[in-house]
Amino acid sequence: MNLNNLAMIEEQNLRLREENELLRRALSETDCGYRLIQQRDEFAKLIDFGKTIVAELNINKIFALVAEKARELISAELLIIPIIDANRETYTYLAAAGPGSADILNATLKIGVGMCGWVLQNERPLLFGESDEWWMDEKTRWEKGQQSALLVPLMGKKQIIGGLSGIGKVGGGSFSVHDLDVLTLFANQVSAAIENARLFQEGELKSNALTISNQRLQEEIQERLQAEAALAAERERLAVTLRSIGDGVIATDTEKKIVALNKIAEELTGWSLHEALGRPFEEVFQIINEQTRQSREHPVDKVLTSGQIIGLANHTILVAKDGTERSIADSAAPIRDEKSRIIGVVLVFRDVTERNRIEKELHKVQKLESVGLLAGGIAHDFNNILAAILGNLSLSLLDKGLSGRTRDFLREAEKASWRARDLTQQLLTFSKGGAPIKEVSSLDEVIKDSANFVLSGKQVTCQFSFSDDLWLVEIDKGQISQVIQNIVLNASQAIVGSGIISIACCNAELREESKFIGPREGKYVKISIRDNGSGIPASVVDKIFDPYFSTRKEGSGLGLAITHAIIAKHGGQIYVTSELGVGTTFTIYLPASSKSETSAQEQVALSPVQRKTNILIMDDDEMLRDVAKAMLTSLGHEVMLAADGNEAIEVYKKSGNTIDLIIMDLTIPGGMGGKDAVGEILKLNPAAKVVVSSGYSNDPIMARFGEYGFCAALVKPYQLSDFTKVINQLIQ
Amino acid sequence: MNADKAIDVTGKVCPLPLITMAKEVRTMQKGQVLCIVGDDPIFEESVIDFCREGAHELLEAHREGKRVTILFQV
Ligand SMILES: Nc1ncnc2c1ncn2[C@@H]1O[C@H](COP(=O)(O)OP(=O)(O)OP(=O)(O)O)[C@@H](O)[C@H]1O
Ligand SMILES: [Mg+2]
Repeated sequence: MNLNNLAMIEEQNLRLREENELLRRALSETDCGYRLIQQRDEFAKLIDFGKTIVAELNINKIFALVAEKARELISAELLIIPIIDANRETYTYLAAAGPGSADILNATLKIGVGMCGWVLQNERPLLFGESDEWWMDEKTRWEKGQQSALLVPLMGKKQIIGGLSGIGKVGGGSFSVHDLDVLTLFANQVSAAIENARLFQEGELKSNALTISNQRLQEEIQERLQAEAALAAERERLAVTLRSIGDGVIATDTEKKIVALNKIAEELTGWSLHEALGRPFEEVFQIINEQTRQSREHPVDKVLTSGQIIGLANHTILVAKDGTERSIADSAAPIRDEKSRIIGVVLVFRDVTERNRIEKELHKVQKLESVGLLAGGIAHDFNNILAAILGNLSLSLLDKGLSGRTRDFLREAEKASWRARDLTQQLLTFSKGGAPIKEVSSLDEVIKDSANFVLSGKQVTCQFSFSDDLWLVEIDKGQISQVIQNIVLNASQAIVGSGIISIACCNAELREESKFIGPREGKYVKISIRDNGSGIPASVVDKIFDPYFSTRKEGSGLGLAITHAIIAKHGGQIYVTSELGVGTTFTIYLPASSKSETSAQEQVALSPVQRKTNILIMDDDEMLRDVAKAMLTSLGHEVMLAADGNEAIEVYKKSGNTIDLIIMDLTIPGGMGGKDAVGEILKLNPAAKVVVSSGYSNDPIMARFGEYGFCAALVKPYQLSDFTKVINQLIQ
Repeated sequence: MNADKAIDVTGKVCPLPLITMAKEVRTMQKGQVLCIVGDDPIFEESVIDFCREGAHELLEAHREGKRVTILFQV
């Protein structure tokens, strides 16, 4: 745009303004013209005010502006703005302009009270003035000198929101209908602005509230997330704890559905957590009474009905998913929430199969030991008496002049005495801490001989099945023979008529993992002795190893008790399985030896004495001394006697090294026994051959005689063959 | 009838008499009697409405020309 143009516009504007002023003056000369100008000014103001107000969004500023501008428009002394409250029962003067406005501001009145109340209630303008637009009755008719009032409603989009009220025309007089029109126009213009501002304010409030509540929500979410994380951590910790507990733990809800199951519980029940979750408790935790094999009352039911902690009854067996049975001990307790309401049940249980077994074993051993103590006392004397009887019997039998009949009687007497000796020996096995006199040996010979010996002349056949390279064992052959004899004898007694006993022997290497009930890991030789006899009722199977338990009329009930004791003393174990009417199997595990079978091969065949030997016998029992002397003399030996250790040493000194062999009693009541005397004799002659003898075959010294300086051990009562064996072994 | 309090709002026009009266009532105890005198043409009407809406018992009202005296129990 060029400067010329601009100057032209300026000029034009100026001219127009001048024209305008001229016209104004001309118009104001006439009454009608004056009014026109006035109206035009009013409208200009109206539009101007309207713009100002509409542009404003702050509600308080709007009210103040409206009051001020409206007062100006209608030249009112006082302009007040009543606005209907949210309850729509009262109204409050939210704005006022003019003298005394402070008294009015924020005053609240009921709708229907006062002139404003009338306008708000009727939603109509009110002019209290000369034009009589409103009166209520004669007394409210406006009179000159009275203050005039002009009120118009402020109409919102849907309903009336308040009013504009002018009180007193500036300079006295009355408001006119024209004032009413102007104020109505103004009210219409600003009501929208007021409503918008109020809506905006509300909206702002709301959005403020929204922001705040949004924040709270965020915080809450944060809190919840934290709580959740804490909960998850807690859960994890609990899960780890639960997993680490050495006992089985199962938790249920009140419906008896499984909600938790730890690792041990998984193992014992055979159910995985995954499978078990949500399942009925009874399905996973099947328990029966060990003796009756009936299902037991479920602890969970009891807890839910009683609300108390309960222990599980004894003899409870848990049947796992795969049918495995385990003795368990447990307790169940209610799970309560913080309000102490029962929300489930927790069950804690453990496998006590092994513990029960060990307890039973211990019990048996204790019983045997007490019996042994009792038996030991009598058995010792009894043994000595038997030795005398047996000695004399064998001496009598050496007499060539005996008649055939007498010889038979004596043989019978001898047989009975042997039986008596065996019984005494059995009793002595029980007595004080006796270790078997062990030697490295193979088992097959001992087993076969013992079994055949028992079964000779019976209608029972014995089948042997032995692995080829059986490991050697360290055994007291006499005792193991006794074991086999006892078991085979029982088996034959359980068979009515003819039957079969099978004896099998094999190597067994047990590892820790092998879960079956058995001895600890290691190398064993396993002996099983099976019969097809009557079988043992389940109700008594637990008792057969007890001393004096017998179902046979003539039974002493000691056979299996002794068997058990012998196997235990060999570091082995014995088990029984039996089925009524089918048969019984005894299984024995004996620890395999790491040594080779040297002593077993060194065994010297029995042969008659080659030369005369000088033998010194030391024993406190005179009867026994005499019998021994007679037996040895009959074998062609020279015998000297001593009653105790001191005497034996004296005799030995005097003999001047002519004594080839000394047989000494291990202990002499009130005197020096063989145990002490052997040292003295070896001092005199380190090459002296001293044999220990005792009725206690299981005395540790008898088992480890070499360590005490003896060359051999002899178990009383003596047999001729025993003497022969020892002499042949020691005197070459 | 004796009033516990008396106020004069003569010369004042609506809503000032009402506002003045409402303020006064708030300072008084229930059961006390307020006497109010006014000359606004709508005064009598307004006080009667005020008493009805606020459940105040109207005791007395009398007019001397434009001057109206009203007694009511707060
Ligand atoms: N193979 C078997 N078959 C059936 N029952 C058996 C068998 N072995 C043992 N028993 C039962 O165990 C009980 C105890 O046996 P044990 O050998 O201890 O004593 P016993 O044989 O009765 O008497 P003893 O052996 O002292 O003469 C027997 O009475 C019998 O009831
Ligand atoms: Mg028996």
